[in-house]
Amino acid sequence: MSLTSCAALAAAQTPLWAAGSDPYGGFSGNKDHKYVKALATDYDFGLTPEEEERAKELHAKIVVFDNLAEVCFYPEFIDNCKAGGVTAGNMTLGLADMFGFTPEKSIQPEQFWSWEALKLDLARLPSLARTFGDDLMITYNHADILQAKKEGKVGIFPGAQNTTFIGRDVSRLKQAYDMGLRISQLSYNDSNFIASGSAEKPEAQFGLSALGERVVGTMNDLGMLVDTGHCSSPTMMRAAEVSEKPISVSHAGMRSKVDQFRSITDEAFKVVADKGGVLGILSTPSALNGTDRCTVDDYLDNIEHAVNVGGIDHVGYASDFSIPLTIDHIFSLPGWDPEVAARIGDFAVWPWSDGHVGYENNSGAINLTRGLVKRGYSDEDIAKIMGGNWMRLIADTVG
Amino acid sequence: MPHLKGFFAAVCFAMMGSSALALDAFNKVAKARPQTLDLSTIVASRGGFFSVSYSLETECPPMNKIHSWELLLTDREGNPLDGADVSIFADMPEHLHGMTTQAQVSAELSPGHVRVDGMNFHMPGWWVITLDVSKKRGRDLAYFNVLVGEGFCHSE
Repeated sequence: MSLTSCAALAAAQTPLWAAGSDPYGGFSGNKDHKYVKALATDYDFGLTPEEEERAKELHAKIVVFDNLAEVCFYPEFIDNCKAGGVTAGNMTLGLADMFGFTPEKSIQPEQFWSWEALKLDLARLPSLARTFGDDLMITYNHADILQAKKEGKVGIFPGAQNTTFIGRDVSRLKQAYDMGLRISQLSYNDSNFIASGSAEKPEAQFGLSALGERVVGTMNDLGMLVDTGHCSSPTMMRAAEVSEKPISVSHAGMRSKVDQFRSITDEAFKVVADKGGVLGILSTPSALNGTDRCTVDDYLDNIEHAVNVGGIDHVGYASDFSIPLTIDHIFSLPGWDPEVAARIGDFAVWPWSDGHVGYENNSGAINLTRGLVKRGYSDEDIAKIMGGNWMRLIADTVG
Repeated sequence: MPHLKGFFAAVCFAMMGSSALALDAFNKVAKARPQTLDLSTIVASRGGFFSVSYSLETECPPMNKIHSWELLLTDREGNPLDGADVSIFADMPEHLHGMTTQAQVSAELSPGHVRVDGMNFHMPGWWVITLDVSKKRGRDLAYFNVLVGEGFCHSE
């Protein structure tokens, strides 16, 4: 799919979410950024021609699942995933009406992870699937992801990064499930009624509330994957303990590798893994080496470290990209209370994908397979890391 | 509302120039100086895409003086890496700050041989110089450790 065909589609069938005549489909947040369209670095691992061929064939054969592929849909996301051989990925919905996002809009605090925003995004999934149906499909379960692989389409697995959308009304989980939501984090960086977030003060990281335990049980019953990617390590452990099904830590760093708050302790990872859960190592440079620049070799170092701590059956990958979005759109003046913003996180360094050499956008996924080949991993183990473990988890929880 | 202004000033400053990003909130992480540092003046890049050496007009990098570096870049086979895009950054991992200047390549003196102007180490101590080198779809990072104001600065 090219941008030209996007324009033709937009002209022929203007989707609900594509306001005006913007050929970019309404998603113009950062369309001029290099890695909206440019392919990731063809990273030089020093592979032999035979190793290159093995990596290429293997990558084409396996299901590649990214458990945090994007936060803000943009049409070139499909091209980038196809170039990287990505079968499907968790896409965050409801950060703030992301499918209705235009450059003129700013994200207001009352929208942030709200029920209204999530409903708007979920309601737009059918329109999205219609508009880009030749190249994209919404994947609601394990079988759908396999179907996407078979048809050569990019699958979007609908997800949320916070359960604040339920307020105190757990029945909203059922409504969200019925509209398509299949995975949700219990909290974002800041704590909520349900769970303590990773940015919470250590002495206040309470794990799960009683309401939180009820939420986990309801998600188990619905077939919605319990995710703790942004949660505190006590929340990860408690969720793994009370959940009847294995859980996801969709995207986090390893505390024993880089000591920063958006990470999981070895203790918590072992608890999650013992219950069958999976950890996705995220691609943010500061989580991988503590700076704002890294290479895909640093990414692989962290993945290997996670394998050594939690086992080969419990590690995946998760990009955590938000390529077309600018921070101005997330925390625009003047609506944001600085105290609220500060509670969400410290943004003195906001790592952007340009800083991750060899993994600048989703097209870099094949570099992970190439690097794992270079490091001597078997085909079976590469398949697990690149998506097999997530697929097993989705089959066990969502179906 | 000084906190508000400070917060958004920091945010806006951080986002100047580029903005594709990962939706997460991280800081750089301070690192203690290792007991032994590799102070080589020639290094291979992280994945081996290129090698690079640096030379100065002085024995050691001067402190608090804007000066120039010369870099010699070669590819994996040892051939000059000409026509590459080279960005250079310097940071103090113990203090989480960089230089007060923006260094940049000012000239390619010969194939793979470039001059970088605008280097300025304003504090003594351990600095890490990061080179971000790209050519076509190839790209890699290389790192030099240098000690400033400590009497010795590199090994051969």
